[in-house]
Amino acid sequence: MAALVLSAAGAAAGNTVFGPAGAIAGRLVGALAGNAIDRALFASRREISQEGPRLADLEVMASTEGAPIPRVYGRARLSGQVIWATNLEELVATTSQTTGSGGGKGMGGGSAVTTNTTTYSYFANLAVGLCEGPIGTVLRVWADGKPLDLSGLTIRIYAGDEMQTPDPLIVAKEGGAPAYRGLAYVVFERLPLANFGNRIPQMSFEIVRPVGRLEQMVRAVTLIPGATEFGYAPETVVQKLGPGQSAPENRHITYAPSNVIASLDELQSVAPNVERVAIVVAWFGTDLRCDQCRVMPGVDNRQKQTYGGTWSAAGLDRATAHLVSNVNGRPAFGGTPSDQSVRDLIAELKIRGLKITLYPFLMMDIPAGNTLHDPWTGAASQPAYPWRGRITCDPEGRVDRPTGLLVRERRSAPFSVVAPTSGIIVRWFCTTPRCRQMPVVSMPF
Amino acid sequence: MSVLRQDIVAETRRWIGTPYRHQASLKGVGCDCLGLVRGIWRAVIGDEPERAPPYAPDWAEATGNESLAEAATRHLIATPLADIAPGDVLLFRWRANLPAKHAAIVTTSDLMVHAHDGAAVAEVAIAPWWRRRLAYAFKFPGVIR
Repeated sequence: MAALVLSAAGAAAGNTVFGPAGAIAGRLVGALAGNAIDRALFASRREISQEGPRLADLEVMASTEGAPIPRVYGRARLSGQVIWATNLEELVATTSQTTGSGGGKGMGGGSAVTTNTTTYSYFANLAVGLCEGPIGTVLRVWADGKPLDLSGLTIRIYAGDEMQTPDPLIVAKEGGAPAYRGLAYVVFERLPLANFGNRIPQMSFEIVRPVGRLEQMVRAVTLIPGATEFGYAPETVVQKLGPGQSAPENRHITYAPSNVIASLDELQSVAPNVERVAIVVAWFGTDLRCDQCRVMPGVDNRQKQTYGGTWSAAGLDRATAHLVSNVNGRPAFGGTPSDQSVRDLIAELKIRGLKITLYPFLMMDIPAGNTLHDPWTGAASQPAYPWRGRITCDPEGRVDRPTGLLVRERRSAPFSVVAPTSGIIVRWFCTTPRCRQMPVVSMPF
Repeated sequence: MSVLRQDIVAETRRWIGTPYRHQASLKGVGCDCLGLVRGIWRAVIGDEPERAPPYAPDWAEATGNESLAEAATRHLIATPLADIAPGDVLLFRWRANLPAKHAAIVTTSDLMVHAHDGAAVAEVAIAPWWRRRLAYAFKFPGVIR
């Protein structure tokens, strides 16, 4: 009651002194003061209702009738036209909190205050027409100029070919829908609007439409980097930095769960005829002298803690594997891909209908300033990070020019899609005739 | 008891337009994706074999159990994904590491009927978006042709 009276009085006073803006300020001041008096006067068993911000209008933005359909060549960023939308969906949530009842904690008692808080959240269903199809794919999406994280969102991309079928959401909402054949479009289902001030954000889309002939001719690619602990993991892996702090190991984009998935999506949309992927998997050699050289899987950090995947290769864990050397305080190489990440990637490639080549690779982790005898020059120190082809079995390499390493594959069981088992054993040999009997290490996959 | 696939499809299509209601199963009034399958079971087979447990809209995600697929295995006959035919029940999983939690009924070789969350029962194409998420397929017991 006092709130009402004082609010009106405050508005009148404010209006007189400062005009309309003063009236609003005055109303606020009056209402606050009145509320305090109300609380003092009627302190027992009251109910307060609070309402969160609520939209007055659930209509969505207009779209232009008769706007031209763009035609994209290569890669372009477009904002598109809203071709279908429902009214915004409103989700009402009410929470209730009672304080001070029964005089707990010796606060006097008798005055129970129940606060009912109602919050409103909003969701949008909309389809955005982009350009003439067929396109390769849509990669990044920006909402209000910022990259939109697509993980957890339901978004369906139609490339605009002549075979595409109507969107299930539009069909379910309208009872029937065109397929918009020949039009590339995107459907957002229940897009949460809380991050955009409860309105549909201005969106733009990175569209890839390959038109060159070279892309059509690509049949096989080699996937790098070979030295990456989790770079091949299809699911997100994060590094724990401290309590409540983490950093992504393998996800630096917003439109896929991991970098490798984003790369494969882009690869297959740009070069649709790719059939085969060679996965480079790097292990580390420690010496140019074959009899001294150890070939081991390596890690870039002994202490790193990760979620979403734990590093392990050939039965070694982070504590027992080779630790790669440092240059200026940073690891000279990424680690060896975790065996599980390679298996998961193979399964992912199989689902995509791609054939796989395992491409074992050797990197020489010999830092500068080492005390290893150089078999080529007789120097007391081997050159820093030499080429792997310089490994030699001969302490006097100059006499018998050795060749590099031979990789032998043995396939003992076919990969299965669901759980690729250890199917390939890779053995490293020195190819110099005198010592080729010596397998250095096995890489089990 | 024998069941014809065309009878399942005909009954399924009678549900089109039923609004989406979580946990409901009443033709023309409201149903969710499981309610649709339950309603068709009642129409073509008979009383429901078990009472559906309570479940939340995001049910099974917290526990990670394949509750829906396990229940389907108890009462329906699993079929290979390559052999789906009209009248079969499809289960979908939204993400690779989550349990299957959506159901639909095949009506033609490339159409299905399902209850779309937040909308209604509708007949839609089994587009690549769905096929990528297809996890299980089942046929009703007693289906002869």
